[in-house]
Amino acid sequence: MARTKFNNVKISGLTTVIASNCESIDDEEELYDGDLDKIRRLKKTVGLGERYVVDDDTTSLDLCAQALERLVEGMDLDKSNIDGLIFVTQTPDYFLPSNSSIIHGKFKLPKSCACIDLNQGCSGYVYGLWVAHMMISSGTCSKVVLLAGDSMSRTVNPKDKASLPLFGDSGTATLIELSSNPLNSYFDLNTDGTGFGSIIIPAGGFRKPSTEKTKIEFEDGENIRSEENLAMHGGEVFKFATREVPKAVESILNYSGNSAKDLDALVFHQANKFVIQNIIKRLKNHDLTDVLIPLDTVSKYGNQGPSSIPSTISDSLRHDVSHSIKKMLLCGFGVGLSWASAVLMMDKIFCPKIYFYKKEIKND
Amino acid sequence: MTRQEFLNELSDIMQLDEVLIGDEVLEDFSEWDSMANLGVLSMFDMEFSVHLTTDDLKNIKTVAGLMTLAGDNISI
Repeated sequence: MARTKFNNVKISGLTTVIASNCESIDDEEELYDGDLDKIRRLKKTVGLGERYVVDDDTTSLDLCAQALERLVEGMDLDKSNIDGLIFVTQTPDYFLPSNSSIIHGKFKLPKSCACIDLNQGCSGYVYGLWVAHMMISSGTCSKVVLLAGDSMSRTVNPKDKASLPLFGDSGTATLIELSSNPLNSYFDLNTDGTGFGSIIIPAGGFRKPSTEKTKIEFEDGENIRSEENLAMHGGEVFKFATREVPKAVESILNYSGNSAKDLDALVFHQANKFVIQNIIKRLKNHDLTDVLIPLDTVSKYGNQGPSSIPSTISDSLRHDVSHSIKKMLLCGFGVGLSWASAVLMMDKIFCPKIYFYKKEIKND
Repeated sequence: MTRQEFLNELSDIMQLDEVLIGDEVLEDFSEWDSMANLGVLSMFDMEFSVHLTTDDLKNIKTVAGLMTLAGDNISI
């Protein structure tokens, strides 16, 4: 069973940078053939609304780099002390080298710094935190930066009614370091690879390289896309999430010796409001009355993949985590299929408001 | 689950403002869409341990018809 506990690692800072171009489902009547009632229902039931997306030459690396700049400036970090860097993304700049190596060079980090990319999506923030905790508790590193971000909007076909209005882009930076006080954190990691086809970009990799044929658009139900676009089978993902996530929450509560009412906040990956509400319905035997459970991130910024959990903390919980100690349950779930949960403390961390991406003018 | 609880739950899944009585025709509601289907499948799974598919729902015409799928799980 992939679960573990740490007692000497803490999260000390977190920054979020959201892409700068705002899009709204209210402006997309054409996509729904003028069916305003359908748009109204998508807003009400699924919680769709506004989202922020990158332009064609901005990547998740750019968003995360700005988040890291904000973290370094805001915490007055000495970069020469950073000895671990993890970049969680599924939209890297290149097949090779890794995004973490590029960030390492861009920020002139010390050569004695371990850099890895993790190819994970919506469960990736919790996976990344787990790896960071291991790097520190093993004695390998003392200050690890976790960058998490995707630019899924660039993978979605503009005629895909199901996915276009859902995804937003953002980048986040989190500092994880050795804690002088004992601080318990618990992790539980899971995978069901039989569902790998439920969320997939079928072509463009080495299994099915990009060709003229893979660029051809085709109809998939109500949606139009090519094999090089993101394909998400919403019904399957919904069934997966409502089947596994409530069990995962119960499992990490048991493992960490907590009941639901011991939590200050329960932060799910912000897939969409409909999914989260159905997960919560299945937790009806637990007392969640006084637990903060953010639901509306998707309506404000879209589904942000691996950065949805940290960006929700920046947006909805920053006053809570920056002024006192809070017990948090974090749960990410999605592509893989994979899911990961953690119970950990956030004790007066550096957590400023959300920033919007400012494009640098390049002279090349 | 009582009949009234089922109707309330269905109204919640479909995000309706009105109260359901049971003889409504599902197709008359624009809210009876793929999302509502998923919500209903999830409710049957969770509340009754009855595992339906979207095909099972296609043959159902009315709200009362949906209730018959739950069998003895719904009391008066």
